[in-house]
Amino acid sequence: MKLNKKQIIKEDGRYLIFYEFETKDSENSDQKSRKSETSNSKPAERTTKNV
Amino acid sequence: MSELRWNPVLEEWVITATHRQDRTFFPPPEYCPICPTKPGAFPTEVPAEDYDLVVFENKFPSLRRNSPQPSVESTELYPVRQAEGICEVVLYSSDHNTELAKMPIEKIEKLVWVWADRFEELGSREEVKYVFIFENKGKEIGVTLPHPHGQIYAYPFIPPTLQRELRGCKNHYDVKGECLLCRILREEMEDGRRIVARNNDFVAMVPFYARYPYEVHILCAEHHTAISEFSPVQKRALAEMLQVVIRKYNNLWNFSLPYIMVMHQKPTDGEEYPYYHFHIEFYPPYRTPDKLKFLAGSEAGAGAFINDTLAEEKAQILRETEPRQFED
Repeated sequence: MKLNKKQIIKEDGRYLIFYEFETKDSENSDQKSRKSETSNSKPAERTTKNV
Repeated sequence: MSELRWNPVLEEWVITATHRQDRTFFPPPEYCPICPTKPGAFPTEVPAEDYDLVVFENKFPSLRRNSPQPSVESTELYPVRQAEGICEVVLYSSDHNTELAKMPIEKIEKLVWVWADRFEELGSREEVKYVFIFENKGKEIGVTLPHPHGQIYAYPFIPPTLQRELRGCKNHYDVKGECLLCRILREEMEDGRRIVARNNDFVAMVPFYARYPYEVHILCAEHHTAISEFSPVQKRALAEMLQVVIRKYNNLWNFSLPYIMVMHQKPTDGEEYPYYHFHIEFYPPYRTPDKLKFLAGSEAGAGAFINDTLAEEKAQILRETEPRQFED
């Protein structure tokens, strides 16, 4: 994902930033392939990287 | 007028911000100041007909750039400082009637990227010692604008709760030679009773020492000290875990559960904090569907929390609650 910012300055001097995003197709497929096995279940064994 | 006043008894800064008394308070939806500006309608904070994610400086900030001189003089007993810093508002969506739990995972992922960007940018400022990302959700928490948004405070000091956490983590690191939260995560995964959900990169759990009945902490599985250190895959995994936790909350009693969500990360004062571990904490104020947990005498006056529930029981309830968005 690539993040683009467009900043404007309001009349009172405060800034405001519009965020826009570019998603690469390859990133999408990579992320979907890892997409989570977010689980509700009580863990029976260690599956995370450092535990 | 805003300034920092030193409390020599508790040894902490108090921010006075008298102008915040006049901030917008539950305006009618058609006058929401953080909706997009529609043609012919009154101008809001956002001069666009639509937007994806927007960040802007709060109109009623507790801390600000080029802050005014304090209203009183500093003394040896009572040091006073300018309330230098930045308060930002993060608009999650142009849709006034949505919330994080209803958003697609891609939208929450974008929000994680924005948080990481704000942490980097604000943390690089000389005067900013701590970047605090948070969301207050629900009128029970004191939210005055229901439009979905979060906030970021860039403090010129390390806030007291973070100082205590850093001290506890450093003490453990110095004695045991390992990160305290890495150890907590390892032992919680082995035990399992307080785990709420997990994916490859994040674990959600009710902490052993929960102060609120449905308090949940999200910890990164790998040791990282800040959101800016996460890979794109980890950012996606964090978005997924956030969605799971918030949807479980909403599905718990079939209403949109208010909460305070806070992000705890390393300070940005130029020092190294290898012993600290990124995590997110949720504090929902409800203890039953119709009863609130109030911070009363012991909590507010003595700092000693009383939790009327067991973390193991509440974790099991949340674990068994499906992370689907309820129909409203």
